[in-house]
Amino acid sequence: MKIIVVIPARLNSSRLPNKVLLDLRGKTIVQRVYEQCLKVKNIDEVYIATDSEKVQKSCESFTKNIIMTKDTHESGTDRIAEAVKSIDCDVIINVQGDEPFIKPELIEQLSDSFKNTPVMVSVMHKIDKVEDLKNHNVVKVTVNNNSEALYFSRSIVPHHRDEWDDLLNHHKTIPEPLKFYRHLGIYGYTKAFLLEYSDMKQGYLERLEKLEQLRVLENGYKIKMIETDYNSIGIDTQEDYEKALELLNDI
Amino acid sequence: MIFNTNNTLEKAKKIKAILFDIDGVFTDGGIIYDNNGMEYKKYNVKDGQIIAHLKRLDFIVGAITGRKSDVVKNRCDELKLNFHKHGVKDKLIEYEIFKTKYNLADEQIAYIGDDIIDLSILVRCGLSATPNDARIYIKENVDIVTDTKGGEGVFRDISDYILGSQNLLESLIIQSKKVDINE
Repeated sequence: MKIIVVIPARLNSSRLPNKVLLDLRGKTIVQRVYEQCLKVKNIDEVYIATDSEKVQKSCESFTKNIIMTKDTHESGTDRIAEAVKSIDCDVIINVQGDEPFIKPELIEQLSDSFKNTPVMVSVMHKIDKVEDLKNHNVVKVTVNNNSEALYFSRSIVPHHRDEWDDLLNHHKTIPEPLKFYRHLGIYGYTKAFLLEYSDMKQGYLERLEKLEQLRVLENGYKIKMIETDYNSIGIDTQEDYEKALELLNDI
Repeated sequence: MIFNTNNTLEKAKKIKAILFDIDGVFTDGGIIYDNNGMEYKKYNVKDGQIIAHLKRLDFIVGAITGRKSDVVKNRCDELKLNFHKHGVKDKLIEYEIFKTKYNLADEQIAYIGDDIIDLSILVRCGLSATPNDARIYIKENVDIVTDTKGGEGVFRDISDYILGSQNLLESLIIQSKKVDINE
């Protein structure tokens, strides 16, 4: 089984311009992501997919594995699907270009799960803070007993009928035994499924929540969720960027 | 036909979709190459004929092949198959996608295959079949072994059997005597 990692790296980020090319102590953010992915043991190749010549030029200094995609794609999935169409591989792991601290072990765990032939796998992290629960940018996910996603939402799911007000108003951290999960935008798909996925029509729930992964559930497919203790440090804002710089100082 | 399981007829009654392998099932497995690298294959018109009828009766028909060639793609398009996937390395993944896409359970899918790559589907699907010239270790793992060899109308045999089990074959023949339903 040939497993590859594809890192989509777009330049026009609305909240933080040119973010994937921002410098993190001598290396761009996307280069740091790339180098983290290279550390993964069971991966055959790592590629960067981009629609920007600027990103291409910058990345050429450390890799030849750059795939140019059209800049007209409506979604990240379409971009990945276009990128891998001509690459001979069985499984694609999609790691966002703004996750410089992604753990290699997590990607390894993700690719290992394909031994049981699921079509799509993603990752979740237990939420600690009530503040994160209320944040609509933190996507929540609920799962069944097989750890397959039941629903993804910007709302808080599940609802806690008996202690809802108490939870939201009187707690800073989420008390045991309550469990809420945050969805991290790291995906693995079989190539066959990815091509099918990019052919599916946009769904009603997907459009409402602005969450592309809902298209998979709306069409009846399953997404296997892996729990991780890695807390995504995606870089979306200037504040996130400064935090990342600090984090590098600590290491 | 050789029946390896004693509830084959019951199994056939539940079938709503028929999936098949191309080389060795829909063809005799032979591939002719010319000097330009073009491929040629011989199909049996008996197999193609029944597909329009199956589709009209709301069966879903599809092919999953490990090989990739224009000549096969064109034939699948010509037959208006609901689903066809080419160059597949792991057939089980495509089978699982097919199941979800058409909202089917294993019991509702018949699969015809003749080689090792087909085994993962053959042991899972609702009704499994293989041509008479398949290897013994494939024959041991299916519900039905047809009398025909690959390319001799294997797909037709299984289609007729399924249609017959659901009392659809007789009405099809009666209707056809009156009207031409070649669509």
